[in-house]
Amino acid sequence: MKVLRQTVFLLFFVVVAAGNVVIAQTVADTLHLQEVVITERYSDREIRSTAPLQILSKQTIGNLHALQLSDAVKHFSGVTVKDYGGIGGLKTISVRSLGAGHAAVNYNGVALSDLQTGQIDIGRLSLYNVESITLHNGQNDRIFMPARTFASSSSLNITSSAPLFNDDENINGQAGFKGGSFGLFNPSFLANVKVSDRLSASFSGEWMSSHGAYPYLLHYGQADSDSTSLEKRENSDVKNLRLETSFYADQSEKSKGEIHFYHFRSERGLPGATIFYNTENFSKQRLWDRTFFTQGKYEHSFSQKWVVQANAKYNHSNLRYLDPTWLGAEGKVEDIFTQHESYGSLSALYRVFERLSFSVATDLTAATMYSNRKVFATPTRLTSQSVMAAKWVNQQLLATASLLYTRTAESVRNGEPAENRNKFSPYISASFMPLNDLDLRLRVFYKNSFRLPTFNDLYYPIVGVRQLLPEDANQFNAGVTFSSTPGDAVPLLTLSADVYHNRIKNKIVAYPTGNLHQWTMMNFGRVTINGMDVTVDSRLILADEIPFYVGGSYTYQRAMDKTDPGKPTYNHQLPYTPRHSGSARAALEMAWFNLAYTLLWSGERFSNGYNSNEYRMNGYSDHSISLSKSLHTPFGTMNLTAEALNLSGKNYEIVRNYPMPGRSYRMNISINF
Amino acid sequence: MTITVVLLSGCSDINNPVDNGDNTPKEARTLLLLNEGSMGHNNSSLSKYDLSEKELVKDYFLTVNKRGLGDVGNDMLQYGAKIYVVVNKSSTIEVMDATTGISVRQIAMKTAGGEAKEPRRIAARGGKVYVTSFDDTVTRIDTLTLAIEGSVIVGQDPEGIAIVNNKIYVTNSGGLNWENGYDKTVSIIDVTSFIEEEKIEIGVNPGALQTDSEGDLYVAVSGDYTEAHPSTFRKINTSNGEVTTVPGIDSPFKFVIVDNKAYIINGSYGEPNSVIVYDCLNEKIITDSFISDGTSIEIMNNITVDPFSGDMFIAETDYINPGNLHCFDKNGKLKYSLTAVGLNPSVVVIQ
Repeated sequence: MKVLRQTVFLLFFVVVAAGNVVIAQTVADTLHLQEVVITERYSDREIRSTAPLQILSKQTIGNLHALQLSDAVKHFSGVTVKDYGGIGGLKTISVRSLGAGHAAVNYNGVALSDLQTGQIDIGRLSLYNVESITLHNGQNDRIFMPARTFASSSSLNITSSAPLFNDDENINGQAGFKGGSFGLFNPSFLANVKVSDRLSASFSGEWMSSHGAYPYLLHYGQADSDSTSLEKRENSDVKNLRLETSFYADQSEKSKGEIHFYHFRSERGLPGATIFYNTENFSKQRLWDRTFFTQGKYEHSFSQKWVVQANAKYNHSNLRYLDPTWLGAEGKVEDIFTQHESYGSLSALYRVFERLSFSVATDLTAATMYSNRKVFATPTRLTSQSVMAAKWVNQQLLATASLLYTRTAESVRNGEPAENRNKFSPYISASFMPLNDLDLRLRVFYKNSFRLPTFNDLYYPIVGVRQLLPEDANQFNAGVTFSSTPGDAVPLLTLSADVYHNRIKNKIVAYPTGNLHQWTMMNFGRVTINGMDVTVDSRLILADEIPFYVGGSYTYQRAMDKTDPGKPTYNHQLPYTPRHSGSARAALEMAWFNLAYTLLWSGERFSNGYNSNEYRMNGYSDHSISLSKSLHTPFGTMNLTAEALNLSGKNYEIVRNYPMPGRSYRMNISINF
Repeated sequence: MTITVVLLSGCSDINNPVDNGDNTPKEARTLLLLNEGSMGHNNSSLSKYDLSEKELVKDYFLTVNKRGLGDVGNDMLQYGAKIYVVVNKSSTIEVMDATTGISVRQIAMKTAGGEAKEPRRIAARGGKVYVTSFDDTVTRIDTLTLAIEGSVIVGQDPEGIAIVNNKIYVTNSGGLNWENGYDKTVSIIDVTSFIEEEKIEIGVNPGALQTDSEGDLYVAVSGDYTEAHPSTFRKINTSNGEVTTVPGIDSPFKFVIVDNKAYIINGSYGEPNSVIVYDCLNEKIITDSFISDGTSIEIMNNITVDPFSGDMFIAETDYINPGNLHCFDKNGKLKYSLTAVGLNPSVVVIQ
């Protein structure tokens, strides 16, 4: 019977540099002089972490029925994804209700950024060739990182699979195809090439298109007796192209480097809110975007004690938005935005002795935004970030602390620039194992972080305000993790439960001013969030040695507006934030095929800051199942999967007036050669 | 990414009195309140308040018709036995029976090509209703057949509409062209021929438009929020075409004229709004602040005066939370308030 193993390729000095000691529950498979192939369960990192950490491994991701990154991320506890529906719809994440601007999205260690909106549309990111997706609340225990990774309140990290070769292989890869409902056409390929003993390369490409015209039931009122009509989602098509090339080099035992090139282009229709009696005139907007970036990393160990790392990135993005229904004199709105960003980072790690290490890092980012709008400010922001961090590890205690210093310099071509800012942001965390013979840990962390106003907040014509302060966030977290191997039938069980208290000050909101009915951005808001995140993962062995994986998460969020006791929204739940939500997944590996099931559910939420009946939105549950099979062919291993998504067929809404597709189907074929 | 926020600005309203031929005011029995809702949320609604039972029905249109009103209801008018509700973003006009609230017809305000006209304000005369729309037109609808009879092109983004002596006057705000300096004219359309005869220059971004019994027209000009083009209150003498400025009214917004007295919402930046009362016949300001008991209202979204009792209704909003409707007596003292009555409450029809 097949026993699945997760095999992770960890370069030796990365393990040492992180200061993490991989303890008891690992099994060394083969041991080479320079490389160590270690079987590690990701759950080890999760339960040892001083701040909540959730990891989705490549194998788990494969069973999540996820087409895009946003689908996978919905399974994390504490995450709210604002999904506007369909493949092309905008999807942004907010972690623990802090807001989309506070969560960083890192791709292979370097942040993706969008200074214009301050948030990343994660729907555009592919799951193809992704080794792992991790979510950190607070910070990563690995202190040897660029300064920028210390800046956000939480971070979502996507790591690509590095090339892995068997002894005699020089080239391997995968060709795949996904197809399904609403015209989904998604071919992809990956090729890993072993150029030499020290250099390998990876090439991958993917095309995704879909006409997206899914049927949905439009409700003209909330009550069951109110009228409905069956409609088709117009202007919901999407065409994406992604090309990536990576090179991985080990110069020697002491140095290694990698460089990535990434190109993405997309054209999509924006289907618009389902405005009664006139949806078709709100469904004509189009969006084109093109992104190119290149990033590189180089690491060198001078000795057991000293390691240095350099990172650099250049990013160029172009966004074109068109609304042909605008009734103004030009008869359309066409906005073209271009952003350039250059980034460099230097960090050093000093291991005092086995248990104690220090790191320093300094980063510099220069970002400029251009627009076709008349007399646009054309702003540039120079951000300098420096951090000092320390880490203590022993059998019982893992503790980290860091202090980040951020300084900005703003300049513009037209008009007045925004004010420069400088801030210190501290962080402290610890996890403690009180009993030697029980894998039970208690943990706490405190983090202070902020998000700078975006270029839209500052410079948008009429609405933008130069003097905006950054939004401040303070997080307090306490939790417990537990892991055990109860027996033969249940080889693994892990649990984590955390309660937290977050506060946001100077929240940037759009607010009307006086009688002029003009809106402006203001640091008006205060929010307090109390919540709880619980995750469970287990592996069981059923009769006939059939492995059964089951996992789930539960999120409780009480996110209260604390801006003004005189206003009716005081203590009301923030919009689009359910109090209760969760996810579950199960996978069964049987002789002839594998079966997987996933569930995403949410309790009710409100579409307005004022929590009254007219803004109440029902909860929803999204069930999906799939059947998959592996075959051995002369060309390589072939995987076939058939998926049925959203079995209930309900067009539930995450954002009001943006219905999700009902029941749909997908089929995947891939060959690993 | 469109400047939807500015659509809310530079707009003005006209509150049309009941024009059913019999102009004798009667004691009010019910209030019908149109709540604009938030743009893009399909949550425009009608609230109905029974004055004797003191009972409020929120979402009256939905309750009676089993479907929502749509997105951004901007104006409402009772003409004869029917109530006309103009819904801007849904681009419809709902024609309701004034007693039962049942919608007898939903008129789709679309061009032949299916594009939305986006109707704004409505006025009635001689068995027809006239509607201004953001596609730069005034449309005539027959009130018996409820059919669209035709449209005439005027200036940019017509807002306020008033009918005096067989001529239709509309203010061309140019609100959608705020980047290029708005529009600054009033179009004059002949009722019989339904042709635009001329345009008069009135000021940048004109909005609300009302008439007194002598046939003079008053216009609240919003300006472009800079010192070069400030807001003003202007008067057009329709007999000789003379345009003058009424002094002392610096930031006029929406207003109504009842008994030849103009009740004007005036809002200076950073201060709560106030109501200026101006005597149209004697041409002087009666009071700078009609509210006499110190009640402070930050943002007044609309104003209605009951000709029978002299009661004044102020719809209050903060654009984010459901707003309130306040009723003041003819001496400016607060009688009662309906709180959280709907999102962006606006036009009141008194039945």
